[in-house]
Amino acid sequence: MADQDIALVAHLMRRAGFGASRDEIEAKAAQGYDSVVQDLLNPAGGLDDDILMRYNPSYYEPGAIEVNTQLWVYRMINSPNQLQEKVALFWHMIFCAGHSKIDSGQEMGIMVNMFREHGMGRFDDLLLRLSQNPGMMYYLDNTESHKANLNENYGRELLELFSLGVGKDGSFNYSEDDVKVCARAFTGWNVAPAYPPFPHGRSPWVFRFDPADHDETEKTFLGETGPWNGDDIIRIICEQPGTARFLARHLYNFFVADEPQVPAWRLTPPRDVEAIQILEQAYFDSNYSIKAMLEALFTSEFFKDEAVRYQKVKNPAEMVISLLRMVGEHQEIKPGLFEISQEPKYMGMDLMNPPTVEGWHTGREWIDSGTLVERINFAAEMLGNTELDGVRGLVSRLMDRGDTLSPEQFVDGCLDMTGPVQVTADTHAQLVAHAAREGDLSHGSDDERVTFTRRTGEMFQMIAATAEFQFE
Amino acid sequence: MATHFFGLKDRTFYHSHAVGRNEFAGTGFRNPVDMAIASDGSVYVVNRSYENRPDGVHMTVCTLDEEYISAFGAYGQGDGEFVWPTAVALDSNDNVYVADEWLNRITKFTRDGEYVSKWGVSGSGEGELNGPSGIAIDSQGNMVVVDSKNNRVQKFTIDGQYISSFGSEGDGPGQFNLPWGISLDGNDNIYIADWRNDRIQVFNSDGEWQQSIGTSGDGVGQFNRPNGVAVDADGDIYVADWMNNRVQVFAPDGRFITLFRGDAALSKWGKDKLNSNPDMIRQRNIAYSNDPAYEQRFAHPCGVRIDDQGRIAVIDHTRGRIQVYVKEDEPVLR
Amino acid sequence: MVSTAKDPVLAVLSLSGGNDGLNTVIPRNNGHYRDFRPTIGVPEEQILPINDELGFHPTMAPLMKYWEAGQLAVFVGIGYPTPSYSHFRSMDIWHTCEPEIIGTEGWLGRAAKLMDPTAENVLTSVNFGRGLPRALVMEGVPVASVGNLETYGLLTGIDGEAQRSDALDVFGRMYAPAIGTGSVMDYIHSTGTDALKGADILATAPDKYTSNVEYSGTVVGQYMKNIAQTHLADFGTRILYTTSPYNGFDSHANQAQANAALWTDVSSTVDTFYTDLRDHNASDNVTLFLFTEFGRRVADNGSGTDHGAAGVALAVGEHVKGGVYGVYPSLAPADQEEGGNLKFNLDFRSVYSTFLEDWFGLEAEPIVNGNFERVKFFK
Repeated sequence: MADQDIALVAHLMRRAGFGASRDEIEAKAAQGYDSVVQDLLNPAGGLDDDILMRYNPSYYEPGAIEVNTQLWVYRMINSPNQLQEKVALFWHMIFCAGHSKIDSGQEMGIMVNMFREHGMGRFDDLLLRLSQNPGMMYYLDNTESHKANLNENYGRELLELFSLGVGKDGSFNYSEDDVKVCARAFTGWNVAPAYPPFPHGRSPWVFRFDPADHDETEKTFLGETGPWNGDDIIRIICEQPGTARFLARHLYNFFVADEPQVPAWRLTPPRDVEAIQILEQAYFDSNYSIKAMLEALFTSEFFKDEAVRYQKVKNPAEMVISLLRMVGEHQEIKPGLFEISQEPKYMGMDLMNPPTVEGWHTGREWIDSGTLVERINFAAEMLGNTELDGVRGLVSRLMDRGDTLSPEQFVDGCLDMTGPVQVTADTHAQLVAHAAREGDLSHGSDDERVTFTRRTGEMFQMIAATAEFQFE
Repeated sequence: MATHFFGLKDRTFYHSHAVGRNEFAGTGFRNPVDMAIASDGSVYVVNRSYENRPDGVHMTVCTLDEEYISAFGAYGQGDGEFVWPTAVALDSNDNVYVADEWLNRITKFTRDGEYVSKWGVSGSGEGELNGPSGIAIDSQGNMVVVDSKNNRVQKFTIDGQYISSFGSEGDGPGQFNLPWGISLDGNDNIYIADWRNDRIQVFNSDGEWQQSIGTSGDGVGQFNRPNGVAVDADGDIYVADWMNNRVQVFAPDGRFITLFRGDAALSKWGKDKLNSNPDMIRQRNIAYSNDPAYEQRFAHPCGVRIDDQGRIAVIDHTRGRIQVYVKEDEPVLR
Repeated sequence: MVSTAKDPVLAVLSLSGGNDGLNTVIPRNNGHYRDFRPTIGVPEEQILPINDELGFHPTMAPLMKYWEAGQLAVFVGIGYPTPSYSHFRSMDIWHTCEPEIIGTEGWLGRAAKLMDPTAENVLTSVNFGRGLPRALVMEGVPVASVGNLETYGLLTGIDGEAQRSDALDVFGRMYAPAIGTGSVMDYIHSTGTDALKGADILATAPDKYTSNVEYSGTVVGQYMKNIAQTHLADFGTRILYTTSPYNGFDSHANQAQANAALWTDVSSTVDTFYTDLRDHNASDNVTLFLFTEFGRRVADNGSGTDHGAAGVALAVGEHVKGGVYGVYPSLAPADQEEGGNLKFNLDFRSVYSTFLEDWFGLEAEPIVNGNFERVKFFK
């Protein structure tokens, strides 16, 4: 199999999923890129929820936030529908609501489940579900917004952060009046009273429309006048070129290459104007289908281009989950998953609890001196553990490359096994120099195999520690 | 006025009360998965809890009259500790045996919760265990263990010497797909909740297959992952129909009699909790008037046991309580 | 501002989970206390009196000598308006001083930024525990977050001292400033270099340390020991932070036994910590602050207590002026906050303002987001 096919499928799996084991990458390369894309776009089957709940009975109506994040992390590691999980994370990073205010792990779990189930559907449908999601309505105070006493929070964030964005090409997408009108249209969208946590656990919150609390007067929104309700607002939003641009840039930023932070988008043009146009076109051609936009993205030349590989700083969830998938850890249900599920938090990404409605700052802002230590040490701990099945498999693949490996062959092999990772010439030279201190590697005798294994584990740790490994 | 019983003339059931609340320690349960009821009325409840709350992993001892007695055991791998505790049984002296389906071991405690001994070897060979998920002690004092991931039932002496086994993987008679709970009747017949085959299988004490009850589904006599089974003195069979959120009752011949969906009112401990949390009372009262069923119904019932008085105790797993039903020959107005 | 021989240092021990203030500093002869705490009330004869009305929980005996020496400030009725009963939210409010909106900058992060604006010292703030509490978060402020000081560092999984030191050499060279690799790569290189520097310095702390005292083996004991080690190593660290095991003080059930064990450990650890610093003649410039996100419900629930409002905090140190600050909230049902809670009367931001102005010599207002009257608990 050609190396470039493997590299391309590995790139696809890093972006459209959370990476994959070497075996899986090779199997998918053999299957063919386009066919793999279709599988990713069309989730089928999935994990057996009964088995999950059998050994973790708390996964039924999961209440505690830790149980909800743990369950999500398990799905990210093990779901055969990798793109579905990746898309759930994508929406969670845009439609930000957090447990610190919502104070119900159950509602956070329900919200993420909604992203998983509907995140690749039509954008108007998704916005409607979002606007009726009780956790989100509470998080952004729509539950406090009344006909007689308006709270503009949800109206504003829906436009600014969830759909249109402030502006594009230098101009503004909406006015302050539009914000107020938007908020008025969503009055009466509320949550029914639910059971408290004591003494038997909360009941799930349920959306409830109260016509008496809804402002049904005539309103003008983005130039259209009528007695608009929330669903009318969503229809009008989805017709706007600003919405197409906003989604296109978010998809590009998440799946292709890091863009500047969102607040800069009104004034800063996209990194790849043509790519954004292709995605915008797919949005309108498909009647707002996210899946159609993803299909356009993954089959495009701009996605396959080698120039966009290793251009994105891995977010902490990607860092943790891709390592687990690479080394084959937590692929069965066993104790220890809670600790693993906290690793992204140690790296600055507390899943289900983004810092604000604006979400996490991404790209280079994932990295500071504290989180870098966490990232490097976790990666090194996983890849350096030659007891793990996945790592052992990589070692034996390396051995298959020849009876004797020169330091350079050894480094190239290790880089290939752990990615393939692309490194700068400087880094490459340092790694080769490090390997050269102990000379060539063989694996003819037991002693040599022990040394080969140890040196591979160490080289994997060195690769995990490179600046390049922070990217995907 | 005509009264129509449709053939069910000789039994009647009513809901008595509920015991417990969700709590990680003390007067409540956290993800309870099994219980055993001693001759003195002490109820030994296995709390599975979850990983980030290891303090919830322990045995609670109380009574069905909601008297708290004590707790013992803790999360861990040491003697007397559990990782995934899943089942409990009592011998004729009320010594307590707890099965751990992660550590593949059976731990023996005194009735007061003092550690005595442990046994169990991981594996799939004769006498080895892979996921012991249900245990029962027969009239000879031997222990019958549901060896779940090995899809078989094994019999041991009480201190772990292998005696015999039956069953294999599959969906035919005498075969299993991740069986879970177990119960014995007065003649040592063995009732197994054949969890992933959605049926109860009945064997005689030698492991010979007698009958199967149930198919997959949510209709009468159908199951969605049944996990617990009990047999009362009359031979009536009670099945915790886990993912259907109900308990079904069958006559000894397997004929469907009735089902319970849960009818709980607030327990004493539940009231204690609410009394110190007036804001929760306020919220609950509005919610209750919207939907009383939420709090009354079972949520993943996870085991049924019968006490000395013939009361039927159901572990209402997700709600952290036990719902108690009573069977009477004569009708009782409640 | 207080005058110390060396730069003032603040150590913080966060009691995670919502410590029950009512059973920590107990209104010992208040009839309501007996009525509301039938199950977990502390018998009057066991309470350690600190004045005519109040007394410490018996497990706090090791703190009595600090009280008697006038080095222990007790804040009662401490909280903030419109209390949140969520652990996360309430802790965030304490971290960010933002009860209304969701804040992103921590009060100690802001303080560190003012003390070391160009981040010259990568160890100005050090946290012990995994994950960074929001109190320490501030853009441009490096914070080392140390899970285990004995093994802290990069590539700790490489066995053998020689191999690891080789690996760290390679790391240093790989992260050396590179030209023309792009701004993100440059940034990661300089961050990696900072991290390595911080780790190298911190790693020397345990080796430099000798002591005559023995800390308890608990998380609190070990992290307080790490705080002492780091302070004694003289790295110029000004803020040392740690958190007791997550939600350990969340005493919904079994409170009597669980909280007694926790407070036995906390009290003796505080004493061990100051004994250790005094033995090294390094106690003068360290104040220790103990706080929690909220107090608990007035009435017990049969075996514990649920989330409440106003609580108790403590400050210990040689420059602390001992005493009770704030007014003990009334337990009378009519005076309780809705939901059966104690009403706060001392805003935590007043206490923070005192730390910032009187201890660190910083302007408090922009840090705590407002002007709060200071509580004069420094000598």
